[in-house]
Amino acid sequence: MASTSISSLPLFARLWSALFVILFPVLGLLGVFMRLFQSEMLPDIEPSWFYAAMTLHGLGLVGLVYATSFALLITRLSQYVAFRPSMLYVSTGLTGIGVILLVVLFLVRFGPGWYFLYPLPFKSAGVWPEWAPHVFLVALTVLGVAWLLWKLETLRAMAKSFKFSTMLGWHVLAGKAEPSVPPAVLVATICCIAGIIALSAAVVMLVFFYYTLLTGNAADALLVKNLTFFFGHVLINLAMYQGIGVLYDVFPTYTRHQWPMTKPMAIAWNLVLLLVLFAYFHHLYMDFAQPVAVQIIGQAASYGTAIPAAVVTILGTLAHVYRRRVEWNWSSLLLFFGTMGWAVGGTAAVIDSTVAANFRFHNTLWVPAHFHTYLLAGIVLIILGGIAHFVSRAREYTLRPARLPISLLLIGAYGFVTMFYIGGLTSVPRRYAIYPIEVAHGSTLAQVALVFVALIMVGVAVYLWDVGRLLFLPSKRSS
Amino acid sequence: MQTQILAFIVWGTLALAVVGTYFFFLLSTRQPLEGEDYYRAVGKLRKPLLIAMLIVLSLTFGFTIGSLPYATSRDLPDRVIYVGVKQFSFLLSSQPLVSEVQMDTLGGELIEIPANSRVEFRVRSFDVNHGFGIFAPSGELVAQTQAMPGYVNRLIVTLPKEGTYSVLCLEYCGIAHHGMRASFNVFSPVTGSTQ
Amino acid sequence: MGRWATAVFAFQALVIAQAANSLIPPSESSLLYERIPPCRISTVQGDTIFVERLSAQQPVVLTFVFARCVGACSPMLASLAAATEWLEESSSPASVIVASFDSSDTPSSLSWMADAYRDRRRWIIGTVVEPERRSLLRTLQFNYMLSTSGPTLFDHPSVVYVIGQGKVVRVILGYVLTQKALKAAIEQARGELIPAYPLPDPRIPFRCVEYDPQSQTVEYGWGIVVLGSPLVIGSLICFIVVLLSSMHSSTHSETSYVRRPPDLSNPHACSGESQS
Ligand code: HEM
Ligand SMILES: [Cu+2]
Ligand SMILES: [Cu+2]
Repeated sequence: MASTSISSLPLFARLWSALFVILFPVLGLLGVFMRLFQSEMLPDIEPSWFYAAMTLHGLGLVGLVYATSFALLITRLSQYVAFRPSMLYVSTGLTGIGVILLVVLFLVRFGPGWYFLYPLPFKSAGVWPEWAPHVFLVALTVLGVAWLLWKLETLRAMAKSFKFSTMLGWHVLAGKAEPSVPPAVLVATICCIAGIIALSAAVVMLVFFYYTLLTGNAADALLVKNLTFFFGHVLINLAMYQGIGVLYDVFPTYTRHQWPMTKPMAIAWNLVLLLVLFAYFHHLYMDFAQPVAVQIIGQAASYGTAIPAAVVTILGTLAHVYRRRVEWNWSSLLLFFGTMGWAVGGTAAVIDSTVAANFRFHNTLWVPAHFHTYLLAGIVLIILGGIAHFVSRAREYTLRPARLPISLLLIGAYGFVTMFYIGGLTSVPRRYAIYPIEVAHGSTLAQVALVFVALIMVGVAVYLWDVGRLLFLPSKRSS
Repeated sequence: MQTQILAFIVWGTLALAVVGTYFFFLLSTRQPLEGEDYYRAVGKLRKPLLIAMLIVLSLTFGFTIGSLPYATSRDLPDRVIYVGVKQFSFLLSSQPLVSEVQMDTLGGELIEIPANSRVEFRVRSFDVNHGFGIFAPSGELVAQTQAMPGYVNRLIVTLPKEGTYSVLCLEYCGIAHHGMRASFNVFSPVTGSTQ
Repeated sequence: MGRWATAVFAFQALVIAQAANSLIPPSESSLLYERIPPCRISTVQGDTIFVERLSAQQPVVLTFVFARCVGACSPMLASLAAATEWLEESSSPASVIVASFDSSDTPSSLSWMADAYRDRRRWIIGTVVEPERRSLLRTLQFNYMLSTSGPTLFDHPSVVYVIGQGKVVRVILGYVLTQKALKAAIEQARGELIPAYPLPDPRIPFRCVEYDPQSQTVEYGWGIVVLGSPLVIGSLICFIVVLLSSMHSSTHSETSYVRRPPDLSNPHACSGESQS
């Protein structure tokens, strides 16, 4: 493994990069479809297609950013530790099967939303067929197994080269500088542990779904909802954190300075492991049956996660560029601005994780507003930047500064999410195919959002031409 | 001030500050100064930033944790409205709801609530998760709770403004989620009108 | 002997239950948060108590009896006494009012009760002043009628009202009262409401919270343990994987990475990828 000659991109990274540059625009188009629908421009289409699109868009993109950021992180890690490629491909293959099943489900208009609250998948109100929830559970199981294997293999590979306490940076906490460990290993370790715990929650959650499926008896909706967000919230957060691992490893290339593991960084990531598992309670603030103490813990943990992010990663990124000769190009700019989306979206998330504010914002457009900020204007930019880095290195291609398309991407993304924020400000509910009279201005916001989406599309198209295309050219031979 | 506006202003201000900072740092790379250890210089900001965040977040936590929406005010309600929810309708009733059949048999009660009285909504669902969101006559979302199967959530509110309030579903519940609605009137106990 | 006693007791209970059946008992759901009307109690001690004022300041447990009762009243009072014993030591204020609904009762005809419960400092025993008695009974839906079992006896429901801030918060029927139920009811009367409660359903396994409708209290269920299980399972899996992997690792030398860290002096070779 140590001698992987990478003048051509490793197949694994190339595979996931290619999947991302194809699937991100396709699944994004489902988002465009939804905004068109909410603009009342598609009056002849049934709302069931809106909700099916919403489900595939949500599940698909969350899964895609999660898997791709992890694949990129692994590609970086493979410089330091040896993976068994077979395991990685088994996971990838299983992911593929899961995704195909989800697409099939979309075609029969299966639409319980990306977090499919129990027991909605079983209560279709006549839209999707009887067998759809069965297939859905199989798809979830396959994806769960795939991602569990993936994380296990990563943990195993790292544990073979590093002591566990070293992986967690505890020696740095103790004040020792040696052995030097790349931050990507620390991040990956935290992500593996949190991920394995989250996927265990998914398994327990699936047990209750199967229980209802097989016996017809009800399970406790509150327990299943807790488990769903235990897993769903952690998963989506890990997608971001994995991207940060890539950032730590790639960004120094363009600033020409190391981004070493420091004590604050080690503290921050150990804290993240603790906090990310308890922040999910903020999804259940409006479930009054949840014990009040748990709600308060939820607000505290959510506030807490903002600190390591800002103090270590955001400040670190800024410090890395300050008055330095930075090589600005497609990759470094996207990575840089990706962390900005994280900061802006994170601020909105902290506001929404205040119980008193959530009372007015829960399930309004404020929610898609904040997560599109740190997903679309955050992690997606980081992934695109990571891919640009990999592909340009592999092809010995010099990336251009691409100021104009990146400006378009940024203006488009921030304009697009601002329409969501204004929706939250003016009480427009999320997940409405059609806006009722009380919130009729929602469709105006959707129309304006479409203008910004067009800018995003132009930016993405230029990226695909400049960068994405290179992924599909036949491999160059190593010199 | 209305919570939503306050939150939006706070977010907007912080977002602009973040964007400004990012562009400041981006532009600083136009005048690179090799040899100087600026990384360390910016790193010196870490502690102040940490302390500032700790202070701001703790203060916000302290100020907001007192206004939880969970029946914590010690004022007892004046009346109860029972709310039954199913795919895809609401039923607001002054009668207790014990079975799903009532969703069909009890229909169409006009709910009138005096302004400024304390109302307890007891919300339950008969099938999937729904939301119970109260929209003031101005269209502003003023209160909400979830309707979860197997649970009764008690949403206790005081509604000061008179007029017709709308109830919309605030948890995705299937194909006609956006079409679920109900309404009730809040009247002035003095003039007796709902405007 | 014990068996006989039980049989007699059961028979009595049956009679009382049947008698009460013919009267419509007050219903909690229709009385909930109902304001009690202004009314005064003339106590055995000769004082006058303003019930609605008292109940605006502190929780009040109110029950109705009549002096000559040979049926439900005595066991009910005994049960109430047992269920409120803790109140005597409690530091927060609350009162128990035992009032006669019978217009022919006088404070002195109730004195035997005051004697029996002499040790109860928080008990107020007396008659309701006319005509407030009627409006109080009507508001609280307390119906009674002449009994078939004796000329001066009444059939009446056994009921305890718990009142807080001048409003009815609980109506507990039956003469078997539990400390748990009264404690919870007095909390409610202070305005400490539970924000939500589950509907009992024995078929649902592993609930996070369980509900006892009798006392209207919630308790944590086994669901909490299930919710915590992924933490344990996940951590255990991680631990095992790490353990196995590091056992099989031949070169756990911790020298450094398998590959060298990126050479950062050369901007174009720093990510390690083009070093080969
Ligand atoms: C051009 C890009 C995009 C557009 C136009 C778009 C549009 C939308 C729209 C209109 C909704 C429904 C909002 C509502 O609740 O009313 C939505 C939901 C969502 N989007 Fe996007 N989106 C885009 C990119 C992304 C990306 C990059 C991600 C994730 C990485 C993402 C994840 C989600 C998720 C998780 C939901 C929630 C689905 C649900 O509620 O079940 N979106 N998006
Ligand atoms: Cu609904
Ligand atoms: Cu709904």
